[in-house]
Amino acid sequence: MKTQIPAVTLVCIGSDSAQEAWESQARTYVDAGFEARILVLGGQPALNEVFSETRHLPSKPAPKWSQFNKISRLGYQTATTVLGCSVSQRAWRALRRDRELTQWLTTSQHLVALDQNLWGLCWKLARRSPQLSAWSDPLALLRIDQTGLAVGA
Amino acid sequence: MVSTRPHVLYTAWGFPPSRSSGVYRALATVNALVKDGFRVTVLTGDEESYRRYVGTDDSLLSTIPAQVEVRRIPFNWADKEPLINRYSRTHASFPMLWNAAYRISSQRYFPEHRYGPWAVDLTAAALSIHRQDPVSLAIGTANPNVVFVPGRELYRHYGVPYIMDYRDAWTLNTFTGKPVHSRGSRSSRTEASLLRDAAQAWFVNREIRDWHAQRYPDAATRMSVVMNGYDPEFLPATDSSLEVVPKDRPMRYGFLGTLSSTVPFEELIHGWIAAKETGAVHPDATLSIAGFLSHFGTPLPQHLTALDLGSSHGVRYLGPIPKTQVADFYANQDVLVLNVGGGKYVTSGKVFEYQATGKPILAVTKPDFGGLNVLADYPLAVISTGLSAEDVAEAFAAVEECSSTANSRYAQALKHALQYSRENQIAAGLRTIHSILERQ
Repeated sequence: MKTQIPAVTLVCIGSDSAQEAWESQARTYVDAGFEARILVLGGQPALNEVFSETRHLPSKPAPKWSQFNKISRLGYQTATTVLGCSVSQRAWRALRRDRELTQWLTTSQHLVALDQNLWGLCWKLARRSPQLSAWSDPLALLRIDQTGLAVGA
Repeated sequence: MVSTRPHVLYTAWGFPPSRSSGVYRALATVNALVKDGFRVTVLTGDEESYRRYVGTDDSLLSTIPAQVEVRRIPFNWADKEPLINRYSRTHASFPMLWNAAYRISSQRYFPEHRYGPWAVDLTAAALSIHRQDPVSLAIGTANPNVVFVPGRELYRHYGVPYIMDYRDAWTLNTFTGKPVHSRGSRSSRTEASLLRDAAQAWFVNREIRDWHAQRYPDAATRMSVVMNGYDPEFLPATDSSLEVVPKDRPMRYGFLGTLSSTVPFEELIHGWIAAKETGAVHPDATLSIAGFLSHFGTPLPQHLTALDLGSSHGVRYLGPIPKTQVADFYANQDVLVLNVGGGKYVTSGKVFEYQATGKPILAVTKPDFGGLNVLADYPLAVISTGLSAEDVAEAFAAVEECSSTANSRYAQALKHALQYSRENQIAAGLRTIHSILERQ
């Protein structure tokens, strides 16, 4: 049975150099009253410690990149998925090729790309799934949410 | 039948419901014009753009005078478009290439990146408005500087005088004091041409005005200062008989503003912690931080780290506060902390607003901050001598001392602040407008 997550899921892919950006993004959502869930893919365990202090749902232990596909089989559905891959071109290319994962991403209502390397992928996914809104600015989602237009499970 | 009262066309990119800081000067000027008997048409951006690009404070919509006609011109900030669904394939797949092309194409009509394309629609709207209801005077409040275009076009086509109102600067970096564009650049040449034909140019302080007078001497005699001020309608009702600082509990310190990259916020937090550790402030004293954590997008990591650091020392972050609730925030503080970036050309609007509360003010900023001139004569001001933790902690000790006598000087502080009401500041501008119209 799939679990509906009525909040923001941050999918962190890549190196720990993205930690500050991730922390900042997660804090933004948490401060705005969202519950933020972190799925760390190939990232550093330290990230989990950072986020365990905030008001988000408990994050999953960080799987290795090779376990990436398992995420898609976890059965999670998210209303909003925030996607970033930091500087890892390798991760980005692998992500585009992973049909199971990209299919999982299209089950979100909102996809937020933090890295412009991901825009092309998000654009294609949005073309494929018209119900999906893909965003390049995480705060835009919050601003537009204030008007009651979008966001939520 | 068209009224005989003068018709002012006022162009501003930031106008309610935009939450950008320049909104308040625009709103106050428009209000002052209406009160002075002018008919006012405002040319501004559409609400959807504000929601998409900068955020909104819808409570401000009710503060636009009913007599004002607002023409909203759609604004497309293409490289800030947040919805990827709307991108072209090239934009999504080759963003760097697309950005390079956009940088060039967006300045085709006016030399201002991102805002340039708006010049076309603004011009069309201004000429259309003038044909329907002749404009007596045009005012543009910048930045962005593209708002000067409607005035220029009305002048070229119909000889309508125009005023350039600089809330900021175009070719001067007010934080570094250095030119942003060289004298021969297209931006500088356009600015020179606009100033050559302008009836007046307004600046927010003497330093910025003098810099422009030196750079564009031919227009110097038409340059004047119209300072910013506080807006009484957004502030708590004052009663000089009240006790402004209670003696029976630890002090409540408050900062309200945008934590941009120029704000020495980490220094404030380190100083606050040092003040706690040395006993300069009571162990249970609190420091409330309110406002946005950046001008546009993501909060700055260093500010978040500082907030985390301070959270175990009585620092709490309250988030953004709608303008109409600012009075409540001030009412709940005993001392206001002015934490702003430096630069002799910089005058924060908060300098005026803080003074209007009549409460003690602690300034934690760089020594060259231009707003210190405005704060210097305020009876309840303490200015940190530096930004080291020790300097800031000493300043906290000093403001505690100052606050112990604040109640006896509250009325004096309120009286001093009166000169900085927006109404009093804009009065100088209104006199200029009447003088221009009399010459027509």
